[in-house]
Amino acid sequence: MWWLANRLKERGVLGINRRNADYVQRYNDRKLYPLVDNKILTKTLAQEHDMAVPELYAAVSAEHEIRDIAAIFKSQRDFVIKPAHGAGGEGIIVITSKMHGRFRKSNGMLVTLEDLQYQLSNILSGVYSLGGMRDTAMVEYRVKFDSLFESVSYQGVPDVRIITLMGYPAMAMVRLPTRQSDGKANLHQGAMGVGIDIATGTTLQGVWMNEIIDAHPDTGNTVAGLEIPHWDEFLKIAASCYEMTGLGYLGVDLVLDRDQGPMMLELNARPGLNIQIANDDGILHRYRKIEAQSALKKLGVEARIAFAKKHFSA
Amino acid sequence: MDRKSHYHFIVLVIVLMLSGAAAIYYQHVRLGLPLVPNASKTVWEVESRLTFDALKDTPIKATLMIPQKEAGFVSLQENYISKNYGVTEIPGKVNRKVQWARHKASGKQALYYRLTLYKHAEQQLTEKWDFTSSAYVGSIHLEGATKVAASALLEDVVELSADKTSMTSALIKALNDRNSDNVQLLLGNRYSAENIADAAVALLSLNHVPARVIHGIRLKTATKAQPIAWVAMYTGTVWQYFDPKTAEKTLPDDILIWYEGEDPAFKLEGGEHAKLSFTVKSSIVNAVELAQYAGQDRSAFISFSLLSLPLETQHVYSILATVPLGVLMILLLRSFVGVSTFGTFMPVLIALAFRETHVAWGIGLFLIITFFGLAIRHYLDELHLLIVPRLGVILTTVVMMMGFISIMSAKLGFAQGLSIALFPMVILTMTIERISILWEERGGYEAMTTTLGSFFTAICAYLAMTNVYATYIFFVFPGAYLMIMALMLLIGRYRGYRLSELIRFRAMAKKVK
Repeated sequence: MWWLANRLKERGVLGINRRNADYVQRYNDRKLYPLVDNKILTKTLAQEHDMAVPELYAAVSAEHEIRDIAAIFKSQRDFVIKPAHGAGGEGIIVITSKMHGRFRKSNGMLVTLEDLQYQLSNILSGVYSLGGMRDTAMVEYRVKFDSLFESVSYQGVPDVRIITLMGYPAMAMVRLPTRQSDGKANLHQGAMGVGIDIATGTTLQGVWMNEIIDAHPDTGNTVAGLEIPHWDEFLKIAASCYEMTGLGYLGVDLVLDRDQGPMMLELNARPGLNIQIANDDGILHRYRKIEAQSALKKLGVEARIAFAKKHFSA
Repeated sequence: MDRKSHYHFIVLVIVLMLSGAAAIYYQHVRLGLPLVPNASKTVWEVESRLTFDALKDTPIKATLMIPQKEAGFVSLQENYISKNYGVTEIPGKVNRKVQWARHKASGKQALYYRLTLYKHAEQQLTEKWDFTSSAYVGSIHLEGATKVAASALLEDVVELSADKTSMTSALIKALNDRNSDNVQLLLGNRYSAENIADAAVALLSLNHVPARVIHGIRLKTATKAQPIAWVAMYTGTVWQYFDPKTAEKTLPDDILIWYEGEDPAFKLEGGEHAKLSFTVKSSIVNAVELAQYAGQDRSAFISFSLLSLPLETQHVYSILATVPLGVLMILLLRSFVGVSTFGTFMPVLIALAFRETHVAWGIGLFLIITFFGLAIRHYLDELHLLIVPRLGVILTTVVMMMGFISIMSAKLGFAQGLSIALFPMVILTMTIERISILWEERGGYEAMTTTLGSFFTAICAYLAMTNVYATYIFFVFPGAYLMIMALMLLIGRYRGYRLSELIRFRAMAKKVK
């Protein structure tokens, strides 16, 4: 047991206790949390900063607005419903198409308008929000993912997670939905995480259910060696979220849209730790380098990315 | 963490630890509260009963000598029991008295003074009994034949003795000689210990040796305890005690000094046929009872503890007192093991319920209710309800089920089933809701592990909270709270891995770079 703990320490693996006390609490001012906890606020903020985000079709904050939502559902061929204060990908419904007045979910199942309205009602009453507070439901643009990921994902949209410390991209991974995760890109729910070389944007090995694996569990295709297009754009969006929110420790979730390129999906002020397994590398060493560098000089977005590319290549 | 706040933290932890330990030490050593709950102590109850017949149409005033406080024992309780009498306590440097007064009364009267006490383990009963010795010389006047007899007796004794100690001893021996005419004259044929002690003190005073009669009660169970008199003599440096019958220089350590001096034990105005009797009873009490007794002594530090509360409230707090301990268990399990639970402190509430139902029954009942609750919740899902009404329906179902289980177990004769009413039903309802959502969102596996984690934590918290030793410590020694706070602060600084993370990241440890 001690050996294991020492070995992990040696590799610079960050644990929850240290993450909470030394990073989340130190770099993230509580009063800024609403900016990332409320996805509508995040989206508005990003649009003000000319950052690409999925378009918001409608925000539903009152029970009576649910009836009127049918019009929006009619006008859009596909869309995503999600709670503004959701955590861990809970409560998200992705509608890919319509058939016979019913809606097809990303897993192929058909649901009725009533089902969707019930889901909206659940979101409003706070089922998915932290602490059960009343919530707002968002209906937004469904990201059409790039064909690059087609061979290595099962339904759903793969997304890219970049962890930034004081605006320095520290580590990145792509999260691939699996059958187990029901098309969701959340590692807790069984999605697969694949590490990304910060310098080149090339995928490394994968982690699934806390185990290191090389192939996607559903498609069987190798996940390593994929080159993510527009990688510099990804890094730029992630790095500039620091100035945008003022939060020093962020997990930036991005998606690659076939037509619109990289988009910022949401931000997380308490990013998870599995990214370390996906990269087979502890993140603490990188944090220490960043902390040392930022103590020397305040750098701009481009300089920070250059620093990260130089020091954190795989 | 910069250096300054680091020192600040360390100092805070040390201060909390030390002040907690000091408070416990004080209560343990100074108040004699044992650290272990099963340690028992003998508690003595001494009751003095003054009976008399009231004189018609005369105001009554009765004064009774009572022991000084803290004279080698810890007074737990003191009561004056008398009907329709005004009671005044008269403190004094030498003797403490209680005065009962009443405008008028008729018939037999009984006045009680009751003292509950236990002895300090390492303190002699007489330790605090040390007054200015000069005050004890020459207060006795002898005249005529008695004075001659006294001088003759003294002369013999002084001649035969080397120092004050041997002189006192010889004097008492002489006074016990029934054939001596001088003694007969002095004592008037009353050879009681009290008379001899009185005479001995008078003669010592005549010889300018400070001396005093002390009156005490032997702490031995007796319905008619005899007050005893003892001779106390001051050598110039220490007090020495002599048995007036045997002249031995000794003082039994079970003597409770009631008062000192030649005055009678009581004075009565407005009554006749007065009689003073003593009863001594002993009982063995356990540590908590002792602490509860001690709590009624308002003079002590303890009056700020839970023990100064009314007994009923004390009972409630004896349960609540252990909650921080349950919370500590949760902190340990979360920070070091990484057990996931529904809600942060929900396991403590479940553990509180377990206290009443016992673990096996508690888990059984909990599972039954949760299972049916989940079934109902699943059905309600089909109805597309708003969340609060849905929770309301589940809550109502939970209450109904609790009632049903209670009725069934009453019919079947399982007493434990009745205690289900103590389950926190709102917690149950929220647990059902959360299990259900977790199940939908993250699958049955996660829901099961979290449920098991909650149970495991609840059981650990329960074991900690019902530990007899721990309960006792927290209830009796408020200092323990400071110490547990220091522990929690230390846990709050833990930056290492959780046990669950070792498992989670084990794949990263295997590979050697």
